[in-house]
Amino acid sequence: MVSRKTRLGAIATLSIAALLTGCAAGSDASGADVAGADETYLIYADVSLTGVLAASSQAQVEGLTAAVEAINADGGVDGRQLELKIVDDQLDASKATTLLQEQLDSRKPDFVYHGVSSNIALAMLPLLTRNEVFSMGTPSNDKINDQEAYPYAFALQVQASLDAENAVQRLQKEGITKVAMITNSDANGQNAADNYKKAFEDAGIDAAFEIYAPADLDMTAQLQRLRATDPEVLFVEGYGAPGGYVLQSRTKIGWDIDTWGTNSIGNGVNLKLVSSEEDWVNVQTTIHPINTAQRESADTEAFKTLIASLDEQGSKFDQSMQLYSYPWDGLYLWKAAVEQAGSSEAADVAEAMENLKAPEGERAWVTFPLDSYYSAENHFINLTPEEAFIYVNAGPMSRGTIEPVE
Amino acid sequence: MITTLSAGLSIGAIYAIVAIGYNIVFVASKVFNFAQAQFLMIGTFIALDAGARYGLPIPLAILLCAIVGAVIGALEEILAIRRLAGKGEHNELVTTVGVSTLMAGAALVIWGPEPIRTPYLTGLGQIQVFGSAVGVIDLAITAIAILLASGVAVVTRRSMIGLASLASSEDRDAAMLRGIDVKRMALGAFVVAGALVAATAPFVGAKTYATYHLGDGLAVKAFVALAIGGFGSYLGALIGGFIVGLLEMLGARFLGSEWQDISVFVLLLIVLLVLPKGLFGRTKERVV
Repeated sequence: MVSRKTRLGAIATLSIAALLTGCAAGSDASGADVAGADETYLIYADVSLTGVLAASSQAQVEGLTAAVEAINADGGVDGRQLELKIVDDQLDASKATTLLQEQLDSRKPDFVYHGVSSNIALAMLPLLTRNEVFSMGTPSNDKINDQEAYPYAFALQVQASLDAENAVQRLQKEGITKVAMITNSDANGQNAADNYKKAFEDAGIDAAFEIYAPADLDMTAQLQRLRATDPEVLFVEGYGAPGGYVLQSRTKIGWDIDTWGTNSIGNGVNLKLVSSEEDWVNVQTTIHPINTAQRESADTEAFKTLIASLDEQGSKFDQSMQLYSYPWDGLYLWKAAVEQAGSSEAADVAEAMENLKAPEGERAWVTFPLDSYYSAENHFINLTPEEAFIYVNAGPMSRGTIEPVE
Repeated sequence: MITTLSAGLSIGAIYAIVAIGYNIVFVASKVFNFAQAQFLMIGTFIALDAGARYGLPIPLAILLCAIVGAVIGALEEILAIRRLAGKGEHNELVTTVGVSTLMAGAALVIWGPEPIRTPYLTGLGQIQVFGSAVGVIDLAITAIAILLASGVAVVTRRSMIGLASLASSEDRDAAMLRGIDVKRMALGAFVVAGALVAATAPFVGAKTYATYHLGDGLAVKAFVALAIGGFGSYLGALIGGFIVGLLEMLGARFLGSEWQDISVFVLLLIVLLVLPKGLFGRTKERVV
């Protein structure tokens, strides 16, 4: 029989243990969150440093770090320094929301970078909205662009459909009426196929489609079926190795048709890693101008500062330039909105972001040469298809910049 | 048509290589090593480092891949499988699934998520066969699979070690009574399978690149190849692999991409219903 004294002692011990466990930090990768709330702005960045998006996440962390350092060196935002806290959600949406809730319980962030994948962002946004927290990020699912559901969320991306619209505009300009397209059967691939299918149908362009499974190693059969339809242009969609397999298979069957890579190939893959020069004959990729040597911001102080910081951080520079520049832009856009609004409250910042007047002098954001990125109707970057994407010859990528082969 | 057939054969050859690895371990220890495909994946990364970082010639790269595959195979058997001997085949299978996940995770951590071309046998181009383009690397991989299957089959049937491994798979207790060290047989099988499968990586990597999730896709297809060809038969593993590869390519070519996997699994169902032991599965004879 356990005595009352012993029982009370056990309860007290367990309670203390539970209290200490609750006080222990989650798996945050850096920074303390107990700085004076009035002295700094807390920038909370949720990224996936473990798993398939690790390299892309690392690039975005480097971009954020560069922006925080540059803004702080310049006096901060409204005289307050920025404090960057990075957490690793391990590509797990429930972990992302748990970490965010822990942060909200401890100290409400002033700016949240809401994940690097759409699944994660869509899991975090309801919590961010309920707690009136301003957020930005690179996930590009159209559901994020719901101003009623997520009034404080802004995407550091253009809408996915612009890729297809740009392609169709070019086809119409060149008088091309018959095309073929091969895509991955995964969610990204089917999203691209749906966008392109709709754009082709609306423009009256005849299109044949084939798919391949994510685990396929050889797309010879699919390409042969497409070749049998005698198209004028072949569109290729494929992030990572599959993009390379498609180009390799195309070379094998000796099909040197004009081939246009979609956004996933142009902005998402270093072709040098997954293919060789013989696979790039007559291949062009659609790409954001920031990823080319023709970027408009190349000579700006902002871009030079970003690059210098990345070199200082020892960045591998193995990702597209946009992955470093988007988060940089995000923080500078937020800074401009806070200073315009005279407030860091989410509603005030969101309204300022929708009606942003670019500060005087050289723009501090570098990805797109716009004075203002957003509007009340569109929380994705407001661009025409031709402004968002250009076509360049395929080539390897070096220091975030594609080097088209002639 | 020739292009489609050669592509199907080379894909099938990759499945067959993994299936042969499955068979070596299964014959000697009755364990289905679900992690076998990951040996090929690890091998592609070893080949990548051997060529790109250390500039080794291909024979040394093959040797290095084989050594690494052998070591990992030994570790798998000693640390994960041996402790479960006699405690049920399901435990061993589940453990090999865990090992497979571990190997893929380790590759992700060590080499990262980006696929990378391996440096060997690139730019071999195509040759014309009856007026159709055939990739030289496709022919090479097909030849490697045929050599591997033939070599292992001959060693299994004609050598004392091969016969001993067959004996221990047919009747472990009888094999022990005959003085066969079944534990060493099992260890040897894991080592040999790991070495042989990994050693093909410099060739396979020229087609598949080094990518941490290479093994995931191969594991299931290689199992299907073995099920069709027949567990215990190396010829069956080879033919089964070719059948799966050809069916995928021909299905995609003439029926459509969506029929690619369906056609393979329909054939698997038919074979399992009509010939449960597969096309070349070995029939166990009982002598009273």
